[in-house]
Amino acid sequence: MVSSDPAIWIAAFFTIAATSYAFRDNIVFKFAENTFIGIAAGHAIVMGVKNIRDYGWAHIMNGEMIYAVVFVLGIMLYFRFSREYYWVYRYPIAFLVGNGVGISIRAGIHSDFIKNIAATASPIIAATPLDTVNNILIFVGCVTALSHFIFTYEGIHKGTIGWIPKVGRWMMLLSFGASFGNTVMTRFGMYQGRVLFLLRDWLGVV
Amino acid sequence: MDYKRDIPLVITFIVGVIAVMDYYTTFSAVKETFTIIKNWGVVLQAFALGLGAANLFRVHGKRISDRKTSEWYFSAWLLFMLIVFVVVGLGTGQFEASSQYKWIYNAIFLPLGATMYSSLAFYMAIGAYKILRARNIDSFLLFATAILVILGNTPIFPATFPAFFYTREWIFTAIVGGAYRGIRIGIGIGAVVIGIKTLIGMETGYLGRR
Repeated sequence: MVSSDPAIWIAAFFTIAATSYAFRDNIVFKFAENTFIGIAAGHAIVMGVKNIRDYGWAHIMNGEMIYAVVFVLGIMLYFRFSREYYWVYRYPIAFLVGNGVGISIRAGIHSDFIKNIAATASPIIAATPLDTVNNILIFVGCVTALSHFIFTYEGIHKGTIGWIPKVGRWMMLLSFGASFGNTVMTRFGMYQGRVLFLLRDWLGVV
Repeated sequence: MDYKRDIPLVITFIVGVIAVMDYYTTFSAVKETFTIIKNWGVVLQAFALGLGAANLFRVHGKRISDRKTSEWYFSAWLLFMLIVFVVVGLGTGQFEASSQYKWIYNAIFLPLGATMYSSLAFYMAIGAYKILRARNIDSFLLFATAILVILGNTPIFPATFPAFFYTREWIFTAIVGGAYRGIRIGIGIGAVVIGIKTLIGMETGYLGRR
């Protein structure tokens, strides 16, 4: 039975409108596209105001007046539009960049660097022959892929050891192919969810 | 000292060093300072969203006032939807918890977001058709694993021949696991090097050209 809920009808309309671009660019898709951008921006602003209240204003209300500084920094961001006082905008941006860079250095060292080296440096001989082969492949894949990005020593890409980065390149191509296949199937899986919504929630035929 | 350029560099250095120190030390003063920095970061990011919204109004407002393109009314509609969502979210004082906000979110934002995201599958499939050709060994390797993973993820194939499922699992365990580890280690080294260069003022792109 076809749904009588207006929210379902609107959702169904926008689902079809967003899909219509698969055939060709059209006015219905443009309508859906602009609706999405407008609402996404509105959603971001609402969440932003909520964060200002929870992480800034609430502290000032608790007597932590140091949080007043961040409101001044926040207003300083809007000097981005001034030709004369553009430099004022650099202060809050410098703060954001410092914070982001500091956190990314921590993450880079810990999650990307140490954790992956530790995981690769585990014993190669495993309980089953297949696991042992897998461990060897993981080790070879990791080391050769890493060698492909060594640009400070050109010799590694030539001569007798030139095969090492080449194997790394092949391992990466195999991985990119697998990731591509996985992404395609994930998106198709998501699209099945939208089709199911149309057939089940909207039209009630399944 | 040039207050227009040097002070921002000092701010970046101090904030960045505190963020790193927070992870590697146990001093309570550092921990407390970094908590404040983290909260300030969230608030500043929220202010920066306002900057984005102001820019959106500037660009689309100009498009509406000029009416040079035939599609200016889409810009008007975009700004209208933005205002509606902000008014509903802030007007109730409950932000995303209000029932009106949830209604618009579930009826418009959620289906549009999910469909826009998943519709890319069509373009990826077209791209795969055009690009995945075994012209040489490199493209053959890319093609081979892509096809095996797609077949392994399509229910009918593993249901008929379970080997498809195991092959897909093996590709992700042994091949993807190893190569991506190498890439991740490279990313880690790159992030640290770029981070240090930014902290010591060797990367100043974020200050702008003016």
